[in-house]
Amino acid sequence: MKKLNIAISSLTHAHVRKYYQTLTENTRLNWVAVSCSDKEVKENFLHFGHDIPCFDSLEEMLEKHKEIEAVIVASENKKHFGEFKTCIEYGKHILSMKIPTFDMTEYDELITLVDKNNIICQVELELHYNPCIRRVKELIANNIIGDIISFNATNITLSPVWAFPWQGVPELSYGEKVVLKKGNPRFRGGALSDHPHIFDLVRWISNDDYNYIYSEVCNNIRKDIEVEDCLFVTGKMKKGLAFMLDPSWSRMEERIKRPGPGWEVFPKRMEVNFTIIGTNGLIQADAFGPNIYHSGGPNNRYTVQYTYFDEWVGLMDEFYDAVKRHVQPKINLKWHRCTIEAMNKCYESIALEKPVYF
Amino acid sequence: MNYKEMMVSKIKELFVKYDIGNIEALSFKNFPNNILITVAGKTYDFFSDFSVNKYDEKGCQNNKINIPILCWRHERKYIEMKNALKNGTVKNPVGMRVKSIHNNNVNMKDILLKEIDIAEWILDDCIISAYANANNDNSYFNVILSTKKNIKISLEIGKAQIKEAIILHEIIAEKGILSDIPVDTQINHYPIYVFQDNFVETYNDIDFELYGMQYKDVAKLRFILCFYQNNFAEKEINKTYKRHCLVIDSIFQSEQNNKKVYIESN
Repeated sequence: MKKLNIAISSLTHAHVRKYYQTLTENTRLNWVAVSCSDKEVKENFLHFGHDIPCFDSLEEMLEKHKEIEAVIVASENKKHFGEFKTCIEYGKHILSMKIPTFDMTEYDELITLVDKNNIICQVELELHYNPCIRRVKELIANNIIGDIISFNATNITLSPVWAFPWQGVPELSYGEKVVLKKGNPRFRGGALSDHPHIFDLVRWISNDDYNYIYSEVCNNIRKDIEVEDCLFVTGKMKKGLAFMLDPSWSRMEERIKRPGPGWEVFPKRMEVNFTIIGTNGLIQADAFGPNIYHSGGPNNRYTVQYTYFDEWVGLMDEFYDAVKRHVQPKINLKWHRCTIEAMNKCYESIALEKPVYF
Repeated sequence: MNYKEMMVSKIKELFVKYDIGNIEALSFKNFPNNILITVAGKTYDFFSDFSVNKYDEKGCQNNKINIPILCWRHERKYIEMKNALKNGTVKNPVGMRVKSIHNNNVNMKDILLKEIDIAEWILDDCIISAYANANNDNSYFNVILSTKKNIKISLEIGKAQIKEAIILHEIIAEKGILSDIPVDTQINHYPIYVFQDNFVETYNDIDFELYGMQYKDVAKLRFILCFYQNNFAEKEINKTYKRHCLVIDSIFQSEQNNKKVYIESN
């Protein structure tokens, strides 16, 4: 089996540490190099002790290692467009972080460039490879709870801003500085920009697309960030399915520079949970259970310890197959466009204080 | 002694023990939804079927005053949630998540009124706007409410073909999170579980004086006792109830017009 030569660019995205593990453990991948222009981020990477060359720029890395076939673009959201174009120029396939760009003009240009240049481009929506969510989808498809009336989901976490400061900078997170609404001192780019999964899953599980969306934003629990941290979203899909989504950063964190034990204040730092109401019953699901529980650690706080995340196994298998067979993966730019559009319309609804139609 | 007789006996015991006065008449309508009690010639009709009964704006009619039983204000968990905010353990709430999904036998307006009151009472705040959508027969609603202090409340509220209700109240604050569901669980917690061959039985005995009464009825009787002990705050209760009815009307209006609705005067 021929390995896929793969690299990571920028190293500034919150999920990038997961790729250090994945690229090391996955026998189908040959981890060639990384690129990173930020000195502090580079030092963090070196701290992990991986024997992988680290270049100052994506271009330098691609010049020096022409054997690279694919790049995981792990930069700040704002920089994805530029890095995509660089990868495409060099003929490299792309695994994109969950927000390719919020700018829909840029987004459509990326779709065109990828298509025109025969580039395989997958978007990192790892929950498509989560076994609990797979089961939920099957239960619904098998009509276990009848017709679905409402799909309610949370993707609530602590805020990553202290470990990944760019996520608190509107220009880097959202792509530009857009005020949340008139008279409000905050800008787009916070929790909503960080949490696309449930906007994606309601489409995937219901096999439908958005009709309208409505959202209201809470006052921040963090007074020292200029982006939103808590909000609620509701609306309906085209075939009438209602939804309620909570993509907040409503779990407080210990503000440490390097994420690790002790960064939780609330015992459970992250959840993706569902309440799906049907005509013949109801499903409650926790995508990340079951867990273990401990105190001790740096702060002696009672903490939920997650036991296993294998989503990246399925995700990378799909990417590998897509590149080797030269077939676009299921979770591609075109699929994901509607989700990004929904998130943008969510921001619009907050500004206008009314439902926004698709 | 059957359950109704037990309830009559418990009410009389409480009234004697706490020196409320002599019960001249005690009866029920649509047991146990309405409890009518006459003391010192004054009759109160304590009701919990909110979709049927209206507040009694004009005061005494036929020598009877309707009082809505806002009994959840006497459930320990909600009392403690309110205390946690009141004493500053959890401070400056910004949002509240509510899940209240019941079996098909429950009336929609009963659930709405309960959750609206729980939210306002625990948060010590007033709802000023509502945005809602619902399914075709209005048996399930998703609602976003906003309060005077700009606290946002999400309600997932309605009915489903389920045996046991799914309940969650979670308050998100600048300092702390407050919830009636334990972390990392998805179902209600009980003090006792009895595991047997084909089923699990749960018990939820929370009141020693009213031991043997069902959980909901314990709260009802505690509400009634408190009402008599606290000099009959009937005006305040009815004012609150009237405002809640306006919030419910606004929710239905919002759902119909797909617009955010501001509640008329508080």
